[in-house]
Amino acid sequence: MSSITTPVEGQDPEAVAHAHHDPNLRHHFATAEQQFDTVKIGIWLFLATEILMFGGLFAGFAYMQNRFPEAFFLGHKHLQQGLGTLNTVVLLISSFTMVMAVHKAATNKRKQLIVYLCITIFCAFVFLGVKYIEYSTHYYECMLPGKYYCNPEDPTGHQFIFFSFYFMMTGLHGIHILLGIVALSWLLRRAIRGDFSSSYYNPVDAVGLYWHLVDIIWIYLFPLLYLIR
Amino acid sequence: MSHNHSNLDAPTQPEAAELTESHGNAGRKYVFTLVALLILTGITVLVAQFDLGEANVAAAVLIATIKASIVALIFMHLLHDKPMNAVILCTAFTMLGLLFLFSFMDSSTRITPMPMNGMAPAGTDFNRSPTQTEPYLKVPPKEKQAPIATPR
Amino acid sequence: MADVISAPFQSGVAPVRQRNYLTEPKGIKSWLTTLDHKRIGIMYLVSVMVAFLVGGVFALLIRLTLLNPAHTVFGHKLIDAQTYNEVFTIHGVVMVFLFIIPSIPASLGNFVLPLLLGAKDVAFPRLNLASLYLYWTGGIMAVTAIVTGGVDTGWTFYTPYSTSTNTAVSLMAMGIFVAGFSSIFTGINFIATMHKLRAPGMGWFDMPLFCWSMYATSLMQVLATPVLAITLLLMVVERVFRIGIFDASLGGDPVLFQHFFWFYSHPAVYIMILPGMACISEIIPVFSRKTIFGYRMVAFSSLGIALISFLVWGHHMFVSGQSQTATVVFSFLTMLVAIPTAIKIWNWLATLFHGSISLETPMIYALSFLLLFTIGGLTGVYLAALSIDVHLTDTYFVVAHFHYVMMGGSVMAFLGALHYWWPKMTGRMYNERLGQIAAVIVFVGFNATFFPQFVMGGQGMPRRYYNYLPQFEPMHAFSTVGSWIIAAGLFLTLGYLLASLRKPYDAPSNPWGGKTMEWLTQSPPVTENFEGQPIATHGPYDFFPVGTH
Repeated sequence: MSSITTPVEGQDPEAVAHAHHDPNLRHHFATAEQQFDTVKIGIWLFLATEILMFGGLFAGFAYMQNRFPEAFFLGHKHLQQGLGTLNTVVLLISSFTMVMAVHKAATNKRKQLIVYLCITIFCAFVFLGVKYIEYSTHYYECMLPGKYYCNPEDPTGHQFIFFSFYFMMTGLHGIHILLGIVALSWLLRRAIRGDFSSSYYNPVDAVGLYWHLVDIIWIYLFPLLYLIR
Repeated sequence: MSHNHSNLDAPTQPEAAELTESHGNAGRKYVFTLVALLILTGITVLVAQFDLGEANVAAAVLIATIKASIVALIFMHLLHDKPMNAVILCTAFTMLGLLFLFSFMDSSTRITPMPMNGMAPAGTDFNRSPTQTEPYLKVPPKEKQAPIATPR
Repeated sequence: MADVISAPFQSGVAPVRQRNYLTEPKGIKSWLTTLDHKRIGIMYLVSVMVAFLVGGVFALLIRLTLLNPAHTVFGHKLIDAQTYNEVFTIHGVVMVFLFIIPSIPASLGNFVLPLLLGAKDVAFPRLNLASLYLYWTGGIMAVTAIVTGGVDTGWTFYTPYSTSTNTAVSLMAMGIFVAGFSSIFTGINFIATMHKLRAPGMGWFDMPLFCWSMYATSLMQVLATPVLAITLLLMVVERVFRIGIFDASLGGDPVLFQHFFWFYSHPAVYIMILPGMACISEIIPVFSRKTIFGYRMVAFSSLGIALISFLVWGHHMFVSGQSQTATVVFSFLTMLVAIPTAIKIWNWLATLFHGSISLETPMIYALSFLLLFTIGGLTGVYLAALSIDVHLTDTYFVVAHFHYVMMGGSVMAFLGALHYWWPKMTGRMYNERLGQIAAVIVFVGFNATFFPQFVMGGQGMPRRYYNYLPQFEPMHAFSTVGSWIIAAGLFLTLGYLLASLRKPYDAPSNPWGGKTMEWLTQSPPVTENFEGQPIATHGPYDFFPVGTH
């Protein structure tokens, strides 16, 4: 194979030339578009792994619910539907503000980007706050995972399995919300510094996709944990 | 695959159709989507208040899937993206589906009765070969029942 | 920018290459914070070789313990039964998770994939470095688990024993959890690289077949490893909290653990073999001076193996208590996976046919692969048949089967590829005569070790057993001596490879006359891989003489 360095067919020579001066373009990419598309593929692949990881938990949950339908039904009655619904609404709103943030980054609206990021982070904290209230209630009623379960009103003897799954699934989800807050704060810092513009907003897009996945997981968690019959 | 930009200041990253739309359009689209999602949430909660038996779980999962699809297609831009990203998402769900499918195929076709609430039904015979086809549960034949003692 | 690099076969011409990825930038810190895929590949290579050594030492210990039924060596009993359980568990865990799964993809793959594609680096260099650090972290956690209590559950961690035993299962499981993310990140990197960073002129069907197999491997790494992660997490939570998912006494289902575990671990075995097949696809055309037979079939069969591998995991659970329906379905599906595998073997054989074969070390390993992997693969089909599996499961037959495919397959391919790309990676040629001798020694030793195990298994010798009936002693002894022969061959290999590093650079850019892009650049390559951007103007296996085709 001969190797000659000329601008390649199909690649805009001006884009390639412009690329060499772009501080955000990593050296192994030829153009910013190639970098953007690659980052997208990368983040979607990462989201696929998250889907399979949480999915495993869902599969386990479904399997055990099949074995102990009564225990799971009685268990879910101890969860506060109102708070769960509130959390769902809060996360949906945060998803909206997140996609608006991406849009503002893509259209060079730095101040609005910062505002939307702040609202998203605020919603995330509200979510965690509500979860804290719920967890405290469970703690006082001694409805804890596995061997720590000591709530006396359990006719089936197997409610602890429901709560084991409840804490595992919402716990893992909560950890992802926390990591999302960290990522969003990092974005906020960079946004304030003026790193993002219409020609470079990959990180905002990537964190946005992650945040939407966290929302999607909750969209499935909420009915299965709080609303099953 | 690349655009021809004669103006170097124009965005070099294609971001769906939103970039070429006016700002108001994209914002409005997202607001409508949010409203739709909130309405669907309300429907989920409403449906869960009625006891429809098996259909409850199915309905809940169905509505959740619709919501998730909306988030994926619109908030995550899959509608306007390159198809590879959607392929990745669908593949992930397909593999997950396989996990569900085969695990349930196994547990639902076991001839050992599924322990309900942790206990095997009374009279279950655990010492038989798994290749037999008669049910585990042995019901004593009626002839062997002891005659009811009648007072003389 | 208009440098022209002359392409084809240069023998004996050694360009000045004092400036290369090894020599600059200098210093340990530059290595530990590098973003260069070649340096990361070398660091992975050293790490997996250490893991291979550790796993190999434990293997020698296993064989030594089984030398005779009294477990004595020169009158001294080496280890007791409990320790034996820990030894074979550690052998399995280290070999599977710390050696084989990362071996070809993370070491050779990281080094060579961007070069094969004509790219400057992988798609996400920082993710690559993170993957290396996660591997080291997971490895350290695993080693800590080994020395602070050991693990005795077998590498498969079946419940309820794994959720109740006192050994360091939790730490080991979390170590594998961390190492699993290393595997996932490598997979993400490779898929994105192949989608977006191919050289101009290189379409999907112009890529070397190494890339297709690595794509299929990465697919499985991305889709299956997360399920392992959640399985290990659930097992640890079960140990700590007694949540009742896998423990029957709490209402759980031990077979559910097996479903989750094997959902990953079956694709994992294909993650182990497909990179080996990737290497074979590269070596055979070059050393037969003939283009690969049926390029598209080989490419699609890689994907086929990856996809079907997700459908067959229940064949590890035929006697575990899953339903009869499930066993029949899985048995049938398992037969299917043999088809794309066989297609590849046929294509490689057809490539050899009428080729001009030269028996350098990589080719000896590749030919060994063809024979040994075929034996291993066919015995896998025996095991897929339900009626046979009921008798052979959990016997030495299974042990021999998977060692034939994993060691006779993957490790042979790994060694062959290591020799094939050694000149490119290090700029030095190893001692060819010693290489050929060592390859033959390893081949002989391997068969001596594992062929008797097929026979033993057929006669009923169970696997993972410390004690055995006296009738098996001759074959166990034979197998143990075989393990010493393997060790001799491998230590010889290590010796001459390390010795070659003391020479000055003497390898030409293209010592084997290959047609893929890595041979265009100097040996060892410069940090940017190529001077300028190579463009693909012919296929990767165009060995036609001038004027034909």
